[in-house]
Amino acid sequence: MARTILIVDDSASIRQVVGLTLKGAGYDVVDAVDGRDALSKLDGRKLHLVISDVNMPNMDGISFVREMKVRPAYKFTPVIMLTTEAGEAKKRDGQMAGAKAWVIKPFQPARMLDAVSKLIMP
Amino acid sequence: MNTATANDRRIAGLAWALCAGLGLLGAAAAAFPGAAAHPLWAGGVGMAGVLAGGFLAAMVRAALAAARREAAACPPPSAVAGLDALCGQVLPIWSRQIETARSQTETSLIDLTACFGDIHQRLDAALGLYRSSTGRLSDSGGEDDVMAMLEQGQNDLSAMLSSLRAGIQAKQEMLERIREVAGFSDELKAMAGSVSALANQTNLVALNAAIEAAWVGEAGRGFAVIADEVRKLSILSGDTGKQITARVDGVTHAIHDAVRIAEHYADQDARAMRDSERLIEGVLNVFRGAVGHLTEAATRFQHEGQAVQETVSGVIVSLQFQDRVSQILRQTMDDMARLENLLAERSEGGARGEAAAPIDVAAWLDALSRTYTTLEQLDNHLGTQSGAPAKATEITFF
Repeated sequence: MARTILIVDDSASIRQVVGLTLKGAGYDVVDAVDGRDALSKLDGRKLHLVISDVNMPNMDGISFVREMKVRPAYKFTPVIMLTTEAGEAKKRDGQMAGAKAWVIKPFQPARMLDAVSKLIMP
Repeated sequence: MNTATANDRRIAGLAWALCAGLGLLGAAAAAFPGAAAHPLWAGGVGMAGVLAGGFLAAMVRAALAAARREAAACPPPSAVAGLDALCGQVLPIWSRQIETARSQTETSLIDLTACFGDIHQRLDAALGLYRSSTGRLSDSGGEDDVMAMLEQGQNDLSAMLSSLRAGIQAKQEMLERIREVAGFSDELKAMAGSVSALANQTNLVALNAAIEAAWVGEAGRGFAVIADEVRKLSILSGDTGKQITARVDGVTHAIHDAVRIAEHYADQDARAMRDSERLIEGVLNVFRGAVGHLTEAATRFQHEGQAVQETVSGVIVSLQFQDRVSQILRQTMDDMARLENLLAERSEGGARGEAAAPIDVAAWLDALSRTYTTLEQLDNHLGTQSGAPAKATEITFF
């Protein structure tokens, strides 16, 4: 059975590019336009990985990850932050929130898939 | 509360406090023991001081307010008349123009991304089909497998030719044996000739014995009978010898015919063998050439397909820069909106007669710099070049 990845980004083109990359590698994809929308997708479905932007309207990515991690069903779901932010302070915030990797846009599809395969839950 | 108004009140308060202090000091001096003045006089001086202070403070406030109004009415030489109003009008228009350009670019890029994604998937499917059709025997080196199959066919055909050669060789050996048998038939014929010759001589001996027996008369009668029997036997032997010779001739003839036919077929076999070898080699060469061309074309197709796939991947990476552009434009629009709001507030304050304080440019720029999300924005702000944005994916694992 294909594994499911949640993509959270306010940019439609980024959601599309990430989706294409993941679907091409055989993953199922669910997407959300911001942190608040992403929280509504945490409805008990099995998520094997989350890829989230940082700067988004309504709820930013780091707040979303914090909220996600307090839910028992998603406490151990690995998170990759995908962002234009390169500042060390932001990276630390992401790490403290529970992210496992920080990827700076733009990403190479092959390298993103490597990171996904390293972190995704079995 | 307006800052300028508060300052005016502070200055007026100081003037009032100064005059009131002087008044109180005068009253204290008049009331001092030893002074000739009446205490009532001292109180009057103090009251007059306080009243004078209040009046002076009111005058100072009025003068400062008038100065502010005058300053507001006559802007400093460096200001441009109507700039605030212009900015208030033009900034929202600029924001809308930028937003239109940003959203149109985003829509087009989403379509472009979908197109390139489709190309990428189709290429993937085509290359997958190629790999499965050329690599049926193994996952790698499909063209090698086809060549291996060809080689296997060549080996099988060579083995078949070897079997045919062995068969022809066996026939050749059988022919040699038949030739040897033909050699024996000559010997048999000679032996049959000897038998005939011996029979003839025996016949002559028997004839002579019969003659001699006749000469003897009655006494040789028994001997004559024996001589006659011997003659009969020699005649039979001679006949048998002739029959043997005839049969040997027949057999020899048959053997020679068989040898001739066998030699004829052996030549045919040898020619067929040579023709088969040439034919098989020719067919294999045609196949080898076809496979070679096919392999070359397939390899080229695979390489070209991979190159196009890499190019499309590169395009997909480049398309992601739209996100950075979008963020930069949004942040610029946000700052324009901030400026628009500030100008609107100042305009409203001006309408209420409040003097506007100078804009703190350093604080504005500092706040602006804290909203950046990309290195390019910081570079643009500082007028530096740090080499951003990064071209390769930068991944940090925690």
